[in-house]
Amino acid sequence: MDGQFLQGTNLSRAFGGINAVAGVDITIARRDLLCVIGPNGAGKSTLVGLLSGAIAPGSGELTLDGERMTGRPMHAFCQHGVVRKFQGTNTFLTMTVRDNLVVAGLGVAAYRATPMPDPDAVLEEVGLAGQASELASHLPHGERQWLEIGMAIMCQPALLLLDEPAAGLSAKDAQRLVRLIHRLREQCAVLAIEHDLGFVQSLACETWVMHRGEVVRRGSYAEIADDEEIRRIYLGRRATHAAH
Amino acid sequence: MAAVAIVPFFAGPWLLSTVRDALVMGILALSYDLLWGRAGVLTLGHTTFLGLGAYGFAITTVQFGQAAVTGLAVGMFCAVAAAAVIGYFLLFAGVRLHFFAIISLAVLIVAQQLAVSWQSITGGDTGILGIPGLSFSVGSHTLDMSGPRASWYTVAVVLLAATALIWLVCRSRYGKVLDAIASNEWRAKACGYHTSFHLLLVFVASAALAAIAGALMAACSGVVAPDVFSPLLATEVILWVAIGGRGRIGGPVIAAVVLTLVRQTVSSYSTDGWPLILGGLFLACVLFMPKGLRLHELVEAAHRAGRAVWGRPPVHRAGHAQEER
Repeated sequence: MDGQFLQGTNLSRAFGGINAVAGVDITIARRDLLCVIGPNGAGKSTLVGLLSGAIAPGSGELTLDGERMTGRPMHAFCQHGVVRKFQGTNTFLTMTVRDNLVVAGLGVAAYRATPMPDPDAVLEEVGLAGQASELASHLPHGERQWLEIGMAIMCQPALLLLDEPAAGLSAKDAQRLVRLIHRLREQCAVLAIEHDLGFVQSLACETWVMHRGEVVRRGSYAEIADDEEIRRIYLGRRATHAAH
Repeated sequence: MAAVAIVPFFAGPWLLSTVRDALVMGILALSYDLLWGRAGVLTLGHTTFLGLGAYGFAITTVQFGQAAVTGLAVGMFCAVAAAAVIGYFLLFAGVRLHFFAIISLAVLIVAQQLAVSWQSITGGDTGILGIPGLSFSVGSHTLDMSGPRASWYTVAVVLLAATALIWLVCRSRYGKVLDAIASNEWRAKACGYHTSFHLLLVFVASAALAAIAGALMAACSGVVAPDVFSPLLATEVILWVAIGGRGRIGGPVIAAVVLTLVRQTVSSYSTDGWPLILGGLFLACVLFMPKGLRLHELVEAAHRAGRAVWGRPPVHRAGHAQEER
């Protein structure tokens, strides 16, 4: 089962004449861990939208496991294993934390040979076991982030797309998330979009820099952080701060 | 349940038939509760399917002389087919919320016009009279359920069965999925649910149940006229579920039965009074009870009113002040 899972060629998408994503080539293998950074408006979220099927590409091709997925609806992407954690929080607010996980797991489990993960084990993993019967709307922001991550795990991802996972997390929680992501990588590929460079540094993985819809650099975090041009585009003084 | 079983032995024939017709409206309320209360699809034309069930039953039994069971099947088929076609084109195209509601109202008016103008089949404004009651034949045995008591029990059994079925669905995992779609459809899609398909499924199931109510209504009252398609009744359906509490099972049924009985009473004094009361109730519901009427809240309100009248001990007052802060 090794090899390329997701393959996107020349992916583009424009909004109102502005190229949010302009000709991105991307391949993701089954156990890859990849971080995408870039300034606001660089097209990171649009890229996640394209990869998760939430946004149809204007041009370009996308395949999952060799199957052409260009223009297919979002639920089909999820059934194929591309699972997305949204930016900010997006849960079923009127339902309990545990029911959120159960519903998240059921949708995909119908298409898989494997049964859905045990919701209580996932609750334990994301640290919400104590809040299982609370309404999702009663959780504070940081815990809703964990709930979303739990929901994504319930969907049995082959590729997990994390849109700003560390936003709203305390430094301690962010480190907990880094450990969780490294554990998850044993089962699936992970692509994270992040603003928090400290978080990217502690993930210590392949890092891409996006600028004006294009991927301008690909390399390890250390290489990226040392790149003069990247500093000029994006990192500025924050990189020196984070690198040392 | 015991009350339902005993009532026919105490109530006179007029009261019995009035309450029976109200119970049929309870079935209609249940079907709408599944659609709007559970899956969050608001329509202004739910009685389209009630009318299709009633007319399907009436036309099959009166104009074509078929058995009651065939009439029921034809009525349900018409409603399911209409719901499937309308639902497919609207729900799969992403039409939701008030857009869906307005188009459903247009469909209701089209159905009403059709019932009025297709005279050779529907009987025009007069509708269809002399519809036979329910009866089932198995081999040479015929089970006649057209008498006042028999039809009472038939309606009661259908209502109880439908209530139990919907209660089970709502308690099941599928009920949670519907909750999730109603609560955040976009997120449900991202969890791999083909949400349009699930909504269509609920829409069609709800239409089928409404058609059963329609066929029962036609069979029990013996007449069907274009006013089953009236927007007024469609509004009442929404009000039943709103007052009874969206997504709860018993509330909407009780609200439907009680309000239908109130309507019968009011109409016997004045025909214009009912829309006025209905409008007032709707306003009151939206303003004061957005989550529907809850008995324990009523009891609490009565307690508060009682305390306000007779005064309350200072301890309570201090506790109340703290709550306010």
